[in-house]
Amino acid sequence: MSAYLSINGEVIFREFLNYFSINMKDAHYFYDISQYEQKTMYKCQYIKGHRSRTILAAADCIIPAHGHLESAGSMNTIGVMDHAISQMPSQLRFQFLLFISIVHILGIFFGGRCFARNRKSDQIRQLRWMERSVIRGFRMGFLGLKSYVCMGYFTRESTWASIHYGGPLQYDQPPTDSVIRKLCQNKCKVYV
Amino acid sequence: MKKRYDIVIVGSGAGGGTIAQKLIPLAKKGAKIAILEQGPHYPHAFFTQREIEMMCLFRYNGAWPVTSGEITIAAGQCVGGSTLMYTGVSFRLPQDVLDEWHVPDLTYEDLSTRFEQIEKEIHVIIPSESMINDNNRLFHQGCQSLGWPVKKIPLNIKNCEKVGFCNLGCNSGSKQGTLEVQIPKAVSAGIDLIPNCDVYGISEKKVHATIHKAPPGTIDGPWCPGRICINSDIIVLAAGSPCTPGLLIKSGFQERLPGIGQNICLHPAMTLYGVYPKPIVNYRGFPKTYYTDQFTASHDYYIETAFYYPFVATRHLGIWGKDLSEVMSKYNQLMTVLVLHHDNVMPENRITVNRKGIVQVQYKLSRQNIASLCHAQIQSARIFFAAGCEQIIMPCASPHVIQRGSCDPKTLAQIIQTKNFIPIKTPVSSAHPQGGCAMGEGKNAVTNSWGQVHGFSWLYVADASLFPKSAHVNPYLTVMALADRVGEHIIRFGFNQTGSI
Repeated sequence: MSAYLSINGEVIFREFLNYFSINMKDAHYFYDISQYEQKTMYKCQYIKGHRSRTILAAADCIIPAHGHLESAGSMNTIGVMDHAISQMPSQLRFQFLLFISIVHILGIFFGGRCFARNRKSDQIRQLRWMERSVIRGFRMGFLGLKSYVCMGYFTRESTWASIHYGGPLQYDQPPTDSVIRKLCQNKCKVYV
Repeated sequence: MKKRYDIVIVGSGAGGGTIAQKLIPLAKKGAKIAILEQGPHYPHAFFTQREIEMMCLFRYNGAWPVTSGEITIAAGQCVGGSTLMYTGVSFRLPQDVLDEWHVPDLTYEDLSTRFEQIEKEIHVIIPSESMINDNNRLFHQGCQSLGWPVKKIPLNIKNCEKVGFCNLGCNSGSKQGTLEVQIPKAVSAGIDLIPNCDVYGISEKKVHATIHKAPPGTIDGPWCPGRICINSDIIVLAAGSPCTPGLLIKSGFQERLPGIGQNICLHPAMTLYGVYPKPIVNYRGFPKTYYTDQFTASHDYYIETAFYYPFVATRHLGIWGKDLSEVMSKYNQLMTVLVLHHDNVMPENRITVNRKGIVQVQYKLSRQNIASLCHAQIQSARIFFAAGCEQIIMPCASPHVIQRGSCDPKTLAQIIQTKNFIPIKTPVSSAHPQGGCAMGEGKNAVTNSWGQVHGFSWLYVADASLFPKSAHVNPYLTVMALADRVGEHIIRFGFNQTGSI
């Protein structure tokens, strides 16, 4: 509830700034914006630019909409993924991000444009090719991508209702990591 | 920083916790004993029942792949080790498996006495009818209608609240792992527990480690962060397989004992799903109460009931796209089983350490392993359909989703084939890594039957790395029984030999 109010509070606060044409840099006169943003905003550290577009498109292929289930390609999925990626060992993270860039570039061979701008059928064809490739690195990369998309989607509470999962019985148990809890509860606004 | 102990135990899981408890009489006589645990010490309040928040309980957040990428290993990294997030399955080592091991001086009578005693201590029970949820009931029904034996799984639980979060840490403390039973007893007897202690090497009666800062929300250890050298008359390695053999390799013991890192098994496992026409809510109640050993003798696997949370379930399903969305939208209708294949020791499978000092598991599934796993999928499919499932999802089927119309064994055998097994794509996991410091007397043996490392009277191993071959069954009770033996040997011989008491 408090986070809900704080998100709405943020909207009101920004509207106030816009109304008086106050630059956000000067906003600290009115409010400690850095502290405020930490509470309600999540800025992706690793998934940015072409990688965020590639992951959003890939997520829609991996988990498309079905019945009450929304497709996975959303900033909320990206937020959880980015937070999980930040916890990875650095070498593994480098490999994962490199793989996403490769997916982006290889789109040219499957639809003439980068992955995110290709048609859905071409995107699916490319992902399927990677999943079954004779090159082990592609199979590993696809497995990693799929796993992180599923993590970013199925650990979020908004998804649980659509899949009829009751979630934790001790719902209000204090979080071990407040950022991931907020991300999973869609209480953080994710931006790249 | 330097410290001095009489006995140091590396690891606090099934092996480390048990040996610590066994050594309580020595601690009461004044021996200084410490348990060093690489992972943090989590209080019950830490277990939030949320999948993503609890991934930190596992080494590499639950995604530790073998070098070929074909299998992902799940191993605990915390006080309590893997007993913190296992389901409490407490099988005794079958006698015919012990006979296959050919370990001199290790008799079934000896182990049986220990099994009995440990089962009392950790409260092993046969689950009552009230513990059986719909998934388990359907499994029972399916096996019975096929005429297969179906048996109850012995579990070490006490006053279980049946909330279904066993694999994310039991916050009621019902599961009687070492965090609940052995470690508290050892600590109250004066044995020091040092969490966040990363042992990176051992040398002649010395342990070299780094103490890390305790993560937020965990219980602090007594020592400040930094490097530490601990002198100890006896060192017991119970960091589990593959970490114990990895530590020995890193410390240079492989030159004298070339068998270190060899003779490994992983119990490759597949979790399989069927869609039942009505909700069965497998995520509540106790997840594991029945198994069938119908194909143990002929095809080397057990089929057990199982349950996994949504994200992990998607990893097991091995599908994506429309199929995944369709299946996951019926998550509360999923019937789940686990196939546990007991693999053979293969010379090419081994534990190694890379240039950066990271422990790696070199493992490739053999044709025989894949054939067994495919056979298990066909038989599991029969259970699902016999139980009433409408469709099933089989990773080695083409297509993966099979409708009820194709439920006769011949059709299933045509759809589920080994040629559809694609390494890495086809999901295989392991929660039972074993071997790497095989006990025995042969040229590849690393320890004697009491866990004492050949040629190093001050060094012991007390975990699943002692197994010379697969245990066939879930290994925790066997690890505890062997650790109990190691403890007995230290009390009777090891400690007196060093004359340090």
